[in-house]
Amino acid sequence: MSSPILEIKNLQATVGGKTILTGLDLTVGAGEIHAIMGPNGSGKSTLTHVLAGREGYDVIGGSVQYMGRNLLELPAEERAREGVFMAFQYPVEIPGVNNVYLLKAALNAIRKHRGEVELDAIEFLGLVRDKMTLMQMDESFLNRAVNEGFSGGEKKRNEILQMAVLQPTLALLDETDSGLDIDALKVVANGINSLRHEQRSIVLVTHYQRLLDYVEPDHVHVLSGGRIVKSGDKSLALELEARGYDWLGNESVLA
Amino acid sequence: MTRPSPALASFQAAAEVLAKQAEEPAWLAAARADGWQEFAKQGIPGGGNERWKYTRLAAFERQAYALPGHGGSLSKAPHSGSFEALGGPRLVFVDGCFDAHSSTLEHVHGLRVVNLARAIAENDDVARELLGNIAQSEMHPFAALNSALLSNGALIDVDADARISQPVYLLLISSAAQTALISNPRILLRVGANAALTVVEHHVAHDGARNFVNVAAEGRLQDGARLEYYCVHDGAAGDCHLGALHLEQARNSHAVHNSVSLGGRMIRYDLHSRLLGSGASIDMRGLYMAGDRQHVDNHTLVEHCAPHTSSQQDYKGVLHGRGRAVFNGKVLIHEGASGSVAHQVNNNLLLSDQAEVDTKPELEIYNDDVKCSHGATVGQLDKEALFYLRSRGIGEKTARTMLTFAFAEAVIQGVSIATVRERIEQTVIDLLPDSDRIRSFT
Repeated sequence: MSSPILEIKNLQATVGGKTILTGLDLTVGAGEIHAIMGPNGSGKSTLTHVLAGREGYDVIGGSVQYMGRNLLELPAEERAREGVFMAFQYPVEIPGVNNVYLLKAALNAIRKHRGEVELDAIEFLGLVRDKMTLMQMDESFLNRAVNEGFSGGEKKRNEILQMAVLQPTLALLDETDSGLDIDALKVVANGINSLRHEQRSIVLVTHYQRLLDYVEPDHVHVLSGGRIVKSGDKSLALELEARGYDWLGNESVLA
Repeated sequence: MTRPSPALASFQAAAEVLAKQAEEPAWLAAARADGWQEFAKQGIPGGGNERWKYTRLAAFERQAYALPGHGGSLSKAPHSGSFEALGGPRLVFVDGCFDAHSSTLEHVHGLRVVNLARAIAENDDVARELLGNIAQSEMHPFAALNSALLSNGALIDVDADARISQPVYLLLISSAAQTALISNPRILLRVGANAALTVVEHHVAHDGARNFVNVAAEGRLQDGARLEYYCVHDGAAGDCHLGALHLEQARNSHAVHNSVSLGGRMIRYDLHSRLLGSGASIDMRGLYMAGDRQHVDNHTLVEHCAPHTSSQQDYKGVLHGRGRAVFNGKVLIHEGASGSVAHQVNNNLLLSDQAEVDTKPELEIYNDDVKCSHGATVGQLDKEALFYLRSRGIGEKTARTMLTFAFAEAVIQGVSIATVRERIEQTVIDLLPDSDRIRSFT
């Protein structure tokens, strides 16, 4: 068996002095899709932010190995260049910075890191146009400021577009389905499915089972109280949809 | 009585020399005399003057300044740094002296642009009507000083209904002369009813310049007139640079003012508009940057004197190193100016711990039926945005530079003349820390 892409052991983290992750274990193999579900406040977003390297999220115990390296010692930009991508639950609006500018700067930073030649404007536009077709985005979008004035759906599509351009090894999608109507959800799911690849692992953090109707996970985990309390296959998601999270809280306490 | 500072003594000597110029028309001699009297009464403002509280000129008072020679002494250096190809009339001044050789004054229908010395020599009615009659010298001592010491400048006069598409370009160069000089360029504008005019006032200083530059511009916008005015201070130098634009706006006239100050040891700019006719409006935008040993002060004053007048102010500052900036935006809504609207925003980005800004909104409202707002921020780059960029693989320094540029870009985008916009953009990039990191993207 090949070594995992991501191996999290007994991860404990605090935010603003408050302990959120209390001993989380998770192993993600190459090409796998994992869904992490759980009630509000269980630590889902904290997990993605810790993995992406956000300041203010302090790891106080445990380890995270990414492709055999200690992920936690890398600054955020190094993680991204090494192939870690986080789709934000609330993508940030950046007035004055165009989408095309951000995408090109990001892609070339990653290519440079890999020792590949940077793309010129024409090559880059060719690449981006294909991905935009996939995400059903209008070309005018390229010259708009990053996420500025975007609808909720546009912001989420933009996150997946960035993922499609940057081609990460490990994608962490933080509630990418939240706030989407059914049409937008299908576009986003279609984008994620098109990025399924044997060399790409995806961690879907979601509150609802709905996205999993369109993006079928290999594994489903329940996060509660800062750790994984139950793991299973996709049928677990259906069970959660039917029964809610309360029964798990009791079960994990008893266990 | 204390002895006058070397600067003040030299100003007085200059005023005495100019007062004896017999060939000038009587109205100018009177304006000089009134100007000197007013300036002498007020003196060089110090800390006791609220309008000059955060901008001290003491360091510039310790030396004397000479009046520039008349012709002959022009710097032969090429005018590098000028905006090329603006396509309209162009007047060039070096240390306040008209450089006819570098100027182009082709005829544009409905527009009259002449150097002010010529207009005065010809006893021009418009020059006479405007000079000293718009600037309120009791509040602006340096406008009074300018009247006392003025030697040249520009008279721009647009006929009613003439819509002038080419900008009038005024290039004012401060040279590194052996002795420090005082120059007092005067700009007079009249935009006729329903006419339109664009003016670019561009200041360039040579390395080593340490002059006292005191610009005063006065403009009158008649009914329905439109004025787009750019005042660009470009590049760093050791000058003490004082500038002002005083406007009177008649019914339904509209002014757009862009003030861009990209560095200088001392830049003080006053923009004072009086909205005298109903429906008059002014849209004021500013971008300023200051680093080590640089000080930029923008003082604005909009007086709403008639109903349904509106003003908009949006100033942004980027301070780095030990840069200092001042923004004082005052809105005065007089009795009777009902239905008026005034909004003001001033945002400052501090890139270092040693940078400093004093920002002060002032609203004086003598009327109930108005809409006014103001807001000021002083802060660092948005942490959320920084993390977002870094999470995409963009290094921290590059991300910081991108966000700083984006902050300034919001003002730069409002510059409608492409040549000017691109040059400002380039200068801003050159001034940013770590600018090499974003050059390839712009």
